[in-house]
Amino acid sequence: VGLQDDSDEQLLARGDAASFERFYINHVDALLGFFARRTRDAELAADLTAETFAAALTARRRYRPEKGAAGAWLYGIAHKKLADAQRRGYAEDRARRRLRMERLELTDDDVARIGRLADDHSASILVDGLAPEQRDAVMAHVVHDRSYDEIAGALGTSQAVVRKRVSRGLQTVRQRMGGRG
Amino acid sequence: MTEDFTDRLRLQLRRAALGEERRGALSRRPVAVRPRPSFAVAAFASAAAAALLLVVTLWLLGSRENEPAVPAGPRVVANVRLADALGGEADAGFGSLWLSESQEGQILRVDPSTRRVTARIPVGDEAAIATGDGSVWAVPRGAVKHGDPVLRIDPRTGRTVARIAQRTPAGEPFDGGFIIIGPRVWVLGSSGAIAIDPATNRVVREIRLGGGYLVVDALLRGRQLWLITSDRRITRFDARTGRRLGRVSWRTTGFLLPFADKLVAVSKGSVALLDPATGKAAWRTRLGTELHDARVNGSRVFVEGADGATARERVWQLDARTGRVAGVVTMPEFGPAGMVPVVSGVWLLTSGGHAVDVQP
Repeated sequence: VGLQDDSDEQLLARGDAASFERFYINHVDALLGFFARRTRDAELAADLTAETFAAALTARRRYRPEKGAAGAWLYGIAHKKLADAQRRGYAEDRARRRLRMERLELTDDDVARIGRLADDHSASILVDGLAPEQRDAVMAHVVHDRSYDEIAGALGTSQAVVRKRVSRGLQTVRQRMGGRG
Repeated sequence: MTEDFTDRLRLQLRRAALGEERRGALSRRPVAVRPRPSFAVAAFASAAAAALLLVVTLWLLGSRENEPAVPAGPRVVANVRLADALGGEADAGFGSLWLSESQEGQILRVDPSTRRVTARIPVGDEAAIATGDGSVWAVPRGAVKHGDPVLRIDPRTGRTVARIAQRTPAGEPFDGGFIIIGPRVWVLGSSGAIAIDPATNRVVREIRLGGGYLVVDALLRGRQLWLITSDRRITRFDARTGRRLGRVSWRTTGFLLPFADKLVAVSKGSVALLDPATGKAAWRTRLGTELHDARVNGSRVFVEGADGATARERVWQLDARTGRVAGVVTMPEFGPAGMVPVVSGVWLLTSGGHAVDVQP
């Protein structure tokens, strides 16, 4: 019993070092894999992962659970860091410099491990950062093969709303896999 | 056993989080616990400070005649807190600045002369903003919302007068992240762009780039829309029809800003003025250790970036015609997220909600 039982939202809300460390453990592999798939560059993926968590650490007091899941919030930061890196051609380090975190050099084993993460396209990793209603809709329709009608009935909403959630969720997943939006 | 990258990063973050905790605890300490000097000591200190100020003032007045004119360089003329958090997106138009407040999901209308918020327009998320065609245009682009309608806002009333679904003319969903206004209102996304006709508020064109590379940047050059993909290639399109005009023969190494008939190119450690036809540099100036953002205002280029290992970002001011550095100023706030040209300089917007006014 303890931090392991807490939701990501609770971990961020606490604001202490141990809670943030648990939040990091919950997401680091998925995020590193996300960056590795999108960049196909272990060094860049590692830099972006470090910068995203550093930015999340400095911004965690501004996270509002009512605006979305903590995973979606983290991936929102990740998308911006990735877009900035693609625009500039390198990963920025301003959040790490603010926290006085030095750049970590990768070993050969690190590079190999990040390469393996890049090849892991499991559904759970890819839908992790989606907004909860999109994640549930994608899992129900795509993974569990339930019809739109069935999902809409279970959620008490319309088929059109479920279709929209699945469509947007899949669009985000495709982008994370490196495909076109 | 050696620790892998994720373990080493975890330990780094733990140290940083503990440091943040300590800093937070110190900053929350009540002011009353600070020892106060006795009245006599305080009075003596005040008198000494006043005397010193007088001496310095007289010395400055006396020596000014012999000094050369101070070269124009950037300086921080104001540092105001406008919100709890600001996104990097902003634009100037209709006598105001329009900034994205990222905490509540609002667009802030700010009077640049008083630096006060004069209106708050709810949009539900951080948003990309552009002004033109008599309107303020916004597209949500935060962590929560993707693919939501483009909002057209009346700048006089602050009311949303149109919500335009992000769909291609064929009805496919589109997920735009920023806006450029030319002959059409172009909403740019990672797969291409859609064009809105401001006369009808309808999506009338789509640009879909082939290949596996995402669109990472765009700019308007006259009647041409240039889309830059993650392989650093640039493809030109007609800004009205969306017709493909061809590729530029050179690749960019950073991001580009229009200046007169040239381009200012900002890469990791340098700024250059490029000929758009050839990509050749008329000048190139090396700056700092990592450059993050830049804006052109008149004939000046303001560049924000890092210089060495210091935590604070800096802002350099360059002459866009020659590349000469007029000066540099250190940012008083952490976390610059964006820049917007204001008067002769720029405002730097920080993730902590500050606007730092830097002027020549």
